[in-house]
Amino acid sequence: MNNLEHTKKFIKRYLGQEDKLPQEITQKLREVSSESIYLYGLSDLNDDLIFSENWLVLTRKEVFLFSREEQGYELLNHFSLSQIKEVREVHSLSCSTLTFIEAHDLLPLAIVRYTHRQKIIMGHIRYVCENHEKEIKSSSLSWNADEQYQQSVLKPIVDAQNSVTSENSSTLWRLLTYLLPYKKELIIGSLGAVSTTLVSLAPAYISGRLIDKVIKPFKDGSLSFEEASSIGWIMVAALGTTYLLREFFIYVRLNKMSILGEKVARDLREELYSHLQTLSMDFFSKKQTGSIISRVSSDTDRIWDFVAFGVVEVGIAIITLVGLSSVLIALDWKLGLVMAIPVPLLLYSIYAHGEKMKKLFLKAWRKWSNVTAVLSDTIPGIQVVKAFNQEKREEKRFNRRNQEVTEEFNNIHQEWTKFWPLLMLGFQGILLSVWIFAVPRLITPESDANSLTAGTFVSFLLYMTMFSAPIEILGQVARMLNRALSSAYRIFEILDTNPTINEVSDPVKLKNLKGDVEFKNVFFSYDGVRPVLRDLNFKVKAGEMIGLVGSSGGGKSTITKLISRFYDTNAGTILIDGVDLKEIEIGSFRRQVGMVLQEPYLFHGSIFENISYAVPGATLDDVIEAAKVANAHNFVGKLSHGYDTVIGERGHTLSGGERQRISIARAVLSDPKILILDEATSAVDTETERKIQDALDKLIVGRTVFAVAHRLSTLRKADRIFVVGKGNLVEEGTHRELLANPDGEYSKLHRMQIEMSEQFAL
Amino acid sequence: MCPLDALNEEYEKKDNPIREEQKRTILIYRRESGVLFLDYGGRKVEVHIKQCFPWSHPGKYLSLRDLDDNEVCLIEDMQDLDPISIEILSKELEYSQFVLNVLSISSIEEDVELRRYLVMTPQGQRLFQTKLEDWPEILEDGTILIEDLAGDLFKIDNWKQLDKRSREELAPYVS
Repeated sequence: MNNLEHTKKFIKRYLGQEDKLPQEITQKLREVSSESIYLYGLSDLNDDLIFSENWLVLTRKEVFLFSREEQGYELLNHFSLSQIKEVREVHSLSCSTLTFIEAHDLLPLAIVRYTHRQKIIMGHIRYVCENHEKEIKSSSLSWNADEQYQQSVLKPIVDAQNSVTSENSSTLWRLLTYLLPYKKELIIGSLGAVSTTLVSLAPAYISGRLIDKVIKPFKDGSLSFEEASSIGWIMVAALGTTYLLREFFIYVRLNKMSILGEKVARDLREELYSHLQTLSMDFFSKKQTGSIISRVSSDTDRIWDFVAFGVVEVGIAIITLVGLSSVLIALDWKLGLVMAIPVPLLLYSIYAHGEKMKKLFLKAWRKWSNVTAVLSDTIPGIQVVKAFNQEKREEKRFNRRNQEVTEEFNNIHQEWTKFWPLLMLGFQGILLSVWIFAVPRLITPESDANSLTAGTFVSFLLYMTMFSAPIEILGQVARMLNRALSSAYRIFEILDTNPTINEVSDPVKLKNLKGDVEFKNVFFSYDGVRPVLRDLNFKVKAGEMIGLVGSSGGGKSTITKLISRFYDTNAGTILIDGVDLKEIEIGSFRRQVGMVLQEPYLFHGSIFENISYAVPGATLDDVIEAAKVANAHNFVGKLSHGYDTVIGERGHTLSGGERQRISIARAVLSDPKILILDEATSAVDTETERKIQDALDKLIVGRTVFAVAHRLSTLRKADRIFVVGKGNLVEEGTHRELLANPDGEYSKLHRMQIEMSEQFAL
Repeated sequence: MCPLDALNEEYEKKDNPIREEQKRTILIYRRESGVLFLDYGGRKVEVHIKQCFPWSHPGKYLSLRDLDDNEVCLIEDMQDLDPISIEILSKELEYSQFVLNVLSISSIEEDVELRRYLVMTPQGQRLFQTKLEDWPEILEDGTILIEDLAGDLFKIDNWKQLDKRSREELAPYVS
């Protein structure tokens, strides 16, 4: 099944709405318009707030509103995009409204209502309607209307579930294919499991034979003492051997399968981590870090559990039950049926008990989460609790919830403590039935065809003790399988994600980058609809320092992300030394790009390791030299472990300024030709800022630098300043040139900052 | 007409200073375009309505806000208004208060990371999902609110009055 079919299926499965614009509407649209469909969305509420099926369809020139009636879809309304002066979008609790306004003294062109499920696509439609002249005419962004609709309605589910799941059977099969490289271990482990089961059946059989063929004939006098002893000891030896063999096979199974499970988990972890490294930044921006980490750690661990024990335990349970039933029926079919017939009933009772327990656990977890909610509320906020003298109130709140959760757990204990004795009573009942059927036959003379020998009966009794464990395992197989499949889905979702930044087949290797950067008609949008950069053009010569200023959300940081090729442009080209960035080998390019970010990230490790992160073979001299340039050497020298001081998580705590200087030293050592400084001094105090600025001044020499800054004072060395706003360059020039225009954006920013510092000085 | 003291003084002072004599009438009306306007002292502001207490005091403390979502006027009690304004605001509240009332529950199932609900509402049948760790919220008066992944709200006024099957499905999540 391909992605499109999957998407359609999931829309039906999770949302129960049409997976795309109905064909009938497309046909009707062709009759009235020659334009292709640009965007569409579902308005699922009518004016009476009843679920309805109205479709809002945009072409490049017009808006159409179709409604589903009894006889099919009808065109309710249509109007030109140019008629729209405003589109009002009002969100309320579960209903949003789009009002298309031509003028306030005229009736609205259309009013559509919808639930929040349709909010994203309707937001896109609103945006395009309000910006149609720019957006549609420029043709900067192209998309498939079906994909836009499908992705937007599924987005909340994809974000929450981290995937849109595929078929259970295909996921299970795919999971089992990870066993294939380890066929040998799998075969040995499985043989060990089968052998364990078969050997386990032997002691009961031998015991019965010992009674029937040795003890009873000896008592009857039909077997001499010597013969009885001889056969008896052979049988005891056989019993001993089966016990030994059984434990040996258990060892083989456990050893092979647990190691096999580890290998599968290791392979999954390796594949997962290696694939994660290839994924683009947009993947990481969409996923929560914790969710990704748990897939590499706990999900692979669950898979190990399933492979090592789940698969085999279930296999053994099935083999044991089939084997036991077969042996018992073969020994004595009447008694065998007495034993085998109630098995499905027992399996069902365990399953039903599991379902009941699931509901009870659900309640208990819910109440447990209430308890933890109080803890996570009050422990971090303990200062507020104490300041307002609310300790008693919080204590009462906690105690009440603690009591509630205790009651729920008590209900759980009530349930299982009742069930298991009852189940055992069921077993005893079967045992009693066997006795009831067996006793009359035991006392029947042996010459009678219906008689039962004492040995056969003893075998039965011993086999019966082996019945409960496999039944219990099979009763819980659904839960075990669900847990493993759930983890498998989460892992495969990452493995199936394709990187959005791909290298061309024969990329250009830029070994010695000069550092010329040019943006030509660049358009970029994170969501594919609302452009963050629009037709952006600029040229930067190698060695120039460019300051990027402007209001938040204007596109400054996006420019730096595109230069680093964390994202690709939607339209237009970025040229590095005259070569299209998409044609350049990513590795060789990124090695020559350095970054100093607002929140420097330091890994757990020594200061030396952190500075030399980009240049693993760096010498001690290189690292010390870089630290000196970054004004870090002095404070590192004050630390008792010097460059060997372990920092990062669980390590020595550095101040913000110190961390920043370590990250600058890292950038110095990597010697990038293009350097990106993203608010590098904004999170530190004035004195630290001075030290960092001094370090940065040394770092920028001889490199092409893009420095994003809010504080204009940090850009005093910039050759040119780009004022970025609404996705384009609003102004461009040197500090002096920009200040020469008193009405310009830069002048306004400059005045505001001067006023602020004057107020501060006062 | 809106009570004069309902006007947000900060809003007046900061963005829309008006003279005292202009504050004689404050009207809420709807233009032909369907958009709600507030006229105070001859100054017309396009507004939308937000309820400060949508669950505990639905008809009280209505905040009328401009396009930038700044409060222009806070109406303590809608009943203090003139009949025309009450009618206009009541209609507006129908939309802003709208949530999906659950009449019955066909099933609640667990999926990968999700809990799937199939319910019947006066609007029709609805299939929706929540995260596994998100439980229905029980308000002080016993009303149950379930917010799905898209943000739509599903309300159950009294779950004990639902049919037997619905109660059985819902019990683990609310009792």
